[in-house]
Amino acid sequence: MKFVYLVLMLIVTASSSCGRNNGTPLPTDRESLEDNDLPLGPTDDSDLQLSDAKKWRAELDWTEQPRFSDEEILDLTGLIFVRNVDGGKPTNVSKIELIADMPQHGHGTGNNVPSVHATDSDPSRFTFENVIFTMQGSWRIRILATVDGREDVWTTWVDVR
Amino acid sequence: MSQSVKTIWLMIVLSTFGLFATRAAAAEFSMSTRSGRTFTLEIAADQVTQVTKDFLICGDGVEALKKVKLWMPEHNHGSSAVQIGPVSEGCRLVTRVNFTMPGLWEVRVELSDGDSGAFTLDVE
Repeated sequence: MKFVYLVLMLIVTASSSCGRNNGTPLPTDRESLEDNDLPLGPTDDSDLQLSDAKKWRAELDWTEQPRFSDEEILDLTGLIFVRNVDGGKPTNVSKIELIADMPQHGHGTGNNVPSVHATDSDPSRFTFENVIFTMQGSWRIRILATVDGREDVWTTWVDVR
Repeated sequence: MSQSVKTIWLMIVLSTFGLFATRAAAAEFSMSTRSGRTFTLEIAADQVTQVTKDFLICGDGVEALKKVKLWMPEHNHGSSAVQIGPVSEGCRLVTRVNFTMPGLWEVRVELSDGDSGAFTLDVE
């Protein structure tokens, strides 16, 4: 009888693991960051110049003007600089990510995920790549980072044409 | 052979058949262009999702395929550019597909002779 149960369990396990698509979780925003209180577009609030905890800010240096095209692959790249409130460099920056989305439309960059890489020369300087905007409009860019031991988010907006 | 062993063998055979049947499943859509050409769009998985990154467009005259555009008519926007591969066995592989949100999408195709058409997909 135990053998029968064992075989049944194997069949159930095998059946439940098929019929799914690629099985890859959708690479969109972190669920924990989905905050409905966040503004749906650029605001005049000067606090947005600083991270949520007002401990640091980021500067984005795009290699080219952020823009959209459905005719050519536009894989946008650039640099991220992380700065303390006083303009100095933080001691340690880790777990840094760039997330681009359009909260007013309810989508991000879909299955195309931007990547951020450290640079050897400066621990507060990073490169980003693979930012592909999927439509024109106002895009929210968030830099998620652990700066001097504290997780925080810095937000800015870009007008993509 | 006891009855229980026979039952087990029967379940194994049926479940194995079911597994293969599921894995072989693929979504296929067809459409006719304005001039009456018929093309199919094939996706390896059994449904189109936001994870889908490529598909095949097949049919007579597929070598004339000039442009493929993803479009979401209900939202009046599309997505980023795709890449169209060379012709192979009557099909062309379209990569860098990015359905950014669930809902009804059109895959609009244009041919070099001015013909055009659109597949309609329900993206999960």
